[in-house]
Amino acid sequence: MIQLKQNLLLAEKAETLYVLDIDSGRVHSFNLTAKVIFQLCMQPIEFDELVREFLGYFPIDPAEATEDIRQILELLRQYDLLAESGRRDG
Amino acid sequence: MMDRLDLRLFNINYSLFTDVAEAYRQLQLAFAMKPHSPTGFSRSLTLKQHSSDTTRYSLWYEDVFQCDFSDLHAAVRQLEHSLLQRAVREDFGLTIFHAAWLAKRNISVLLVGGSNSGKTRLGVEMVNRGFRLGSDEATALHNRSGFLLPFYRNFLLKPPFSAEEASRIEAGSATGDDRYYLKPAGNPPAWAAPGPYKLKFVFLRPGGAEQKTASLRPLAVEESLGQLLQNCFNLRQIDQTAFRRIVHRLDPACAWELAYSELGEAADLISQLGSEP
Repeated sequence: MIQLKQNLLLAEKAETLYVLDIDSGRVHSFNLTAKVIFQLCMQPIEFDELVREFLGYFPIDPAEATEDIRQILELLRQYDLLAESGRRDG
Repeated sequence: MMDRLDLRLFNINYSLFTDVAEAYRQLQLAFAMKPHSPTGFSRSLTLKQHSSDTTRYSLWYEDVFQCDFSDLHAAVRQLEHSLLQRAVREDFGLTIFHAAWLAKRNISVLLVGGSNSGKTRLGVEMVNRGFRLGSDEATALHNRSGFLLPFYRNFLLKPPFSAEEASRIEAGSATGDDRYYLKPAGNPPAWAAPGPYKLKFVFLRPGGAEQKTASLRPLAVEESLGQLLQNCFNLRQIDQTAFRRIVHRLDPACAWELAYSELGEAADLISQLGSEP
């Protein structure tokens, strides 16, 4: 399962989502595509379901969507924004 | 019989350190007025004068004894320190930035920067240009209301001092204080009232001799947000409401980086922000 970790504060402004990681003090900003993926991960979700949900927002080629999601998840892992179980999945 | 002075956070006038008797009177006034803050802090610091030795004072927090003082000056100094420490360490629903706060009408300019970035000395220049003083060091944002809350005291300066400053410096050492305060050139500064303000953020970048002229560079939200939070004393006490409030107040029309070397020139630039609609 993929899920965001605790201790994140969120604020949207225009199309951008700003995230404050209280643990690290880092601020992250997400564009529209990344924002949708981020928000879908606010509840526990399987990778395949995440792809399906994402395609509901952006009707693009599934292979391209899968690749986009993998890249975003990799960034979320890199910045320690995922809960423990989410770091192993996807 | 002890004098008991119920003290509410951020509602004390610290402007009269140089005259202990007057400071005592001002403290009494501040307590008597009761907070005009909308936040209603429920906790209190209390200063008690010993009945057997009226030169001695003790500090209590929520009716728990903290420490004793041999004179009022030392007590007031510790009160100021305790207020800041309590506010930073405990959850009073405040977000506190390492920033000086100067106000004009409904506009507040926050000079954000770490030690030796020039917050205090620029603050002095701004007061000389008609701004009200909210704080020279720590600016508190009330998470729920979005109000700024003042932290009143005389400007606290670090050496070395200019010749002009040296003529107005009050060394606390004469009364057991190891810090230095700048006495006002004329009347004490006008204080900024707690309340909602249109915020303008200035991130200070003092340069060396190579910095020929002062300049303001607008900052994108990501950059200003990152810098602001790096200068937050109590990051863990920011809540969702406060974070959203901060993000929505940041944009390139209200957040700048100030590169400067000469204080007067920098203050002139900042003053223009206080006169913009």
